[in-house]
Amino acid sequence: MAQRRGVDFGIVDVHTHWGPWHFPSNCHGRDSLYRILDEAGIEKAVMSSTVALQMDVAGGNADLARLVEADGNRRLFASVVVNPNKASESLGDILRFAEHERFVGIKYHPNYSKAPASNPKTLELFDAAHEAGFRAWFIHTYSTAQAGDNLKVAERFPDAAVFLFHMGGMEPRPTALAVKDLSNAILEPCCTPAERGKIGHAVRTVGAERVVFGSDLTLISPFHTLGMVLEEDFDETTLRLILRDNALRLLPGLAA
Amino acid sequence: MRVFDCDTIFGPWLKEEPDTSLDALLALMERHGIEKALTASTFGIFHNYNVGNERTLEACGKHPALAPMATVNPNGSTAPASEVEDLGERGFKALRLYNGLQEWPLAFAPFREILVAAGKARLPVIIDCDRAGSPTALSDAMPPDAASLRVIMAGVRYFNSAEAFAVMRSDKRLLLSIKNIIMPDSIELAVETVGAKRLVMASLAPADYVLPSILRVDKAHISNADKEAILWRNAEALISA
Repeated sequence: MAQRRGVDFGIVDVHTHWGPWHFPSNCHGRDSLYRILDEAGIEKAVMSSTVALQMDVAGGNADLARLVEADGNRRLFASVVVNPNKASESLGDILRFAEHERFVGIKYHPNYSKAPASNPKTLELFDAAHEAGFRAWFIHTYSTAQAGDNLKVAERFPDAAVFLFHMGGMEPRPTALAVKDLSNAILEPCCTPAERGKIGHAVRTVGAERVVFGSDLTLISPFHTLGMVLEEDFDETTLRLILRDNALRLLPGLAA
Repeated sequence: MRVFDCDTIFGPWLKEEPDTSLDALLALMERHGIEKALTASTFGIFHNYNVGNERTLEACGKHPALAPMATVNPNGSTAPASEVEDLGERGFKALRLYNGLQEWPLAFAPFREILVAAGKARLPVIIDCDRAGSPTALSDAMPPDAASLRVIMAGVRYFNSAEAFAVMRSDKRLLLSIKNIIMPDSIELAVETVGAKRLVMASLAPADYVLPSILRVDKAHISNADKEAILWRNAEALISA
């Protein structure tokens, strides 16, 4: 095999999951999680609960809280999943986890919630989260149109970082261009479609400081997105920004 | 470890970026140690498959690392099977059908005719199976008497991989590209379920990145022999058969 570049520092993965998927995989439990993190060189991971995303907001968020609280090495961090269809549960969890040192942001999935980020009920929840002190949003972004809607969150909260997970899916380049001028819109590139050059384009378009690493594990192998990043052959500074330093800067709770 | 990529393209693509020229493909192959690649001209996908096939043969004639894949659009001929019959004699090593990009279903009469012809011509076929139901539709379309036919399912994803495994259990002529089965243990599960000999690497370079597939196989908890099979030996055996 050709000589391949490695990574000699700990990676920070802002997009990971805890909980089962309904697809063929045996990677559900705690042991599997740590094994995957170790093998990929992921030092810290920000997680959301698959159960919270797909059906039980309160139960899933609570389960994730137990996981991160049991993590004695400060590797695992969490995001509060909110869903406007489960508004009271979501609000309860926003308030419950606002002061929790391991909960570093709000996770929102417009498709699972069947409501765009700009939906009034969703924005009410976001306002409550902002008032409670949250300054990071992690939002599923699978098209340029969805990015446009998610940008409304970045505009609404200029003092927060809004991570656009999946960077537009099959539309990564138009998405990067669409978010270029909003400095708190952050791009995270993981998704099945692996359009060559999309990450380099993102770096050239929005700047290396606004691109972060996310894997979507345990749904997706971290080597999928890591392979894309390494194929770009970035210089060491850019590589370190994407794989580690940007996340630590944008999510100060990770380093504390 | 040697790498043989079963699915690449060259020529104008749907977008300006990335560069999908022949030079870009060759450079990518050299950079990532891809010794051999099955390839097809994009003219055959979007313009005219006869023109595309000629361009494919021309390019592969100049570059020994490239093995020519023919393509046929079943919507483009009144007798698609006849288009396939002499492809092997003309030097093509595989038949790539672009049902996804050309938007035709697998439950499709001309496609069945093509499969029969590909079996007779002893040409492996690569077909897109990236939707729920695609593997089943492919399985239904497989001609029962074509014992030597081999079909690679490209584009299978985590949400239809269980379906792909099911059809592979019942039809041993089906193979699977590992490109989009990207859950953390998908490769291990695929080896366990259908065997490493039925898995191949097929990246769609230079339109898509190549390293994700190579890295995932390299890091998978499978034997070195299985890694070698997936990345090289299976493809080599397929085009040599």
